[in-house]
Amino acid sequence: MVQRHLAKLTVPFLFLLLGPHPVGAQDERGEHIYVTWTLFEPDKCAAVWLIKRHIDPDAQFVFFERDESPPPGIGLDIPEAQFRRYHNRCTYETLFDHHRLVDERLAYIGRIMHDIEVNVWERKAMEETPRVEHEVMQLFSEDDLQGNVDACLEYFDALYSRL
Amino acid sequence: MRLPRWGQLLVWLVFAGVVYLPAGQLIVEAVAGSRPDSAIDALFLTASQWSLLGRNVALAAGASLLAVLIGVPYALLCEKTDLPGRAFFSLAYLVPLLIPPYLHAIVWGRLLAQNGPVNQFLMDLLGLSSAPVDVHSPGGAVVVLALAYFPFVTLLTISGLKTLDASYEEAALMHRGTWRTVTRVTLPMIRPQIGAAALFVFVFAIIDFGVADVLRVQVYPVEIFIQFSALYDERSAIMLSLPLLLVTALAIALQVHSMRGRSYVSLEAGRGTTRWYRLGRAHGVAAASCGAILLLSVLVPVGALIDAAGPVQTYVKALDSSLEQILISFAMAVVAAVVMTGLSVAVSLALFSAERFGRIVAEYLSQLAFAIPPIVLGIGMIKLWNRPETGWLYGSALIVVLGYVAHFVPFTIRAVYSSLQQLNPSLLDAAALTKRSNILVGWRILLPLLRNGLLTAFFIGFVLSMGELGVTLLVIPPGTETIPIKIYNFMHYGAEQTVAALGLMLIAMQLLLAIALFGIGRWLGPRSR
Repeated sequence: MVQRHLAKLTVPFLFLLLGPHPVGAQDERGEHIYVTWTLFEPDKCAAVWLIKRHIDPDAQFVFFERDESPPPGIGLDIPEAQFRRYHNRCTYETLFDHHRLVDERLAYIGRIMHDIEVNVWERKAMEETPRVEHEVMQLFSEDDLQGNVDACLEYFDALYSRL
Repeated sequence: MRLPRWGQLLVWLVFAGVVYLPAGQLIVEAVAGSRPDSAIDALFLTASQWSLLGRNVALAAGASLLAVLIGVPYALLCEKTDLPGRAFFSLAYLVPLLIPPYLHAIVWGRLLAQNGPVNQFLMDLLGLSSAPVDVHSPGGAVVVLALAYFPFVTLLTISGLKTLDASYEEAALMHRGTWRTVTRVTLPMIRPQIGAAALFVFVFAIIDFGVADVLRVQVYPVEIFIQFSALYDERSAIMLSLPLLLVTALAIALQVHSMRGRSYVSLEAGRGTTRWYRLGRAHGVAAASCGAILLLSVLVPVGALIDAAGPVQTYVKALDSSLEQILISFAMAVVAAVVMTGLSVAVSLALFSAERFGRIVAEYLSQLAFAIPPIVLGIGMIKLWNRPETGWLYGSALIVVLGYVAHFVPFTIRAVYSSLQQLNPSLLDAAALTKRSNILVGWRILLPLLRNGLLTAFFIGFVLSMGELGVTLLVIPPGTETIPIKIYNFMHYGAEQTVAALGLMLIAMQLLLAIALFGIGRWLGPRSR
């Protein structure tokens, strides 16, 4: 009797352990609309550029304050989103992997973003990381969010063409 | 009940395959894959790496010393005195173990931040221009680790005190006062247990990644993590891990040596023979001291998490966004705890069945596994299991379960083996006379007799697995998250409310399981019949 109950309990456990666990699939509600916090930092800046230039040219970015509920759309670089920073990947890398992009220069920018975002300790893997981080941080203005998007596009266009 | 030789061999092969193969293969590959001189060169650390290792040893020693200073007096007060609320204090000290160390770090990091409430209060009170306390320092990590791990010291000290022969203390009391009896007789007699507990905390602290990472303290395991995850230099990460492995292996060997022939957990022994000291006027101070320890290690962390989580909606939101991760974490921890308990029974029987010399070696081997830092175990598991033929395992949550088992099974073995050592062998001899099969005797006689040890092992395995971060960070498949990983990821976003709510849910789940197991233990126990 006890064994039979245990067997019944084991089945859902094994399903949970062996089955796939897609994270945040519910995020993809609004096409072309990406919702994110108002705060800008290099990884988000690069992710915005990657979406606009290499994934979805029609993308629009909707910003909201961190203490508000997210409006409908694809979450970007927010805790509940699929496309966000994980312990081993930055937001840029999750987008790059998800869309299976194949481009050496894009991958190189991904390594710089990983170095900024995931390698948060003092020592950096790549020589240009501190410079890129410093330059990108100079781009942002608190009042002009659309201006920030434009600045990100301009900066990473230039970086991409230099590589 | 003894295992045949082939049975013992089978058990040790499974144990070695799960526990030692990942790290063993990793080290052999790293050393064999390079020229002998370069492999030897890699073992010589740079000056900064030596300094980091030295700092890490000092930090772990500090945490260990502080845990002893907290844990031993607490155990003495609970076990040897007429402390008011003794029954409560004797159980409540275990609660900090339900709070993973990185949650302690998150809470204290928030409370003692430069602009946190404690520093602000002290600055206003003392008229200071800068924050007097900096928790983001090695000293801060020492305090956090000691608060998280002192229950191990208390547990082992109480275990030693329970098995103490009170006649020595009685004899000493005839000539000396209470203080001298405690310091000159009682404490020296339980020195092995205190030493073993101190070494336990030392190893936990030196391999810790979570607390150091949360408090941004540069320690040796973080350096290994940087080499592997940030700089993608796998070989450097492995070679860098060897000195740490030597230090931890030495500590574990010393610990096993000091506890040889002694029990880690006293399940029933010694009751009724304890010598109690009267506290007299010190009643209030003693109770207040124990209360203060619980305040800092339980009430402040839980209270701060409740405060940070805010309204009920936060819990609803956290549950809504993390229900799947909660279920996965729970399922993985339960499966890991069951596997650990089963493996522990097999290993304990193999230990029990071994000849004298073989038993000594096997005892060391069963415990040395904990010397493998989680970061090394994680890298080893990636190298071992990340291949096409084992993709079904590596790509599923079972790889995380395997990581939990490999990392924590030494603890569950201790619980079951202690229980086996405290059995009356004549019960098993009598069962053997019935000429029933070994399996039937094991099922009908041995397992019921081991129930306390099994429940303890299951609980230890579950709690440690639920809070595990170091191995999980490296081996968890893409798209899967556990609660600790979710907390770790959310921390980066400053999502303090969700982190606090998830932390509280984690603690609550463990507390509920503890209460349930305690109830099951009593229900199955002989007194209820």
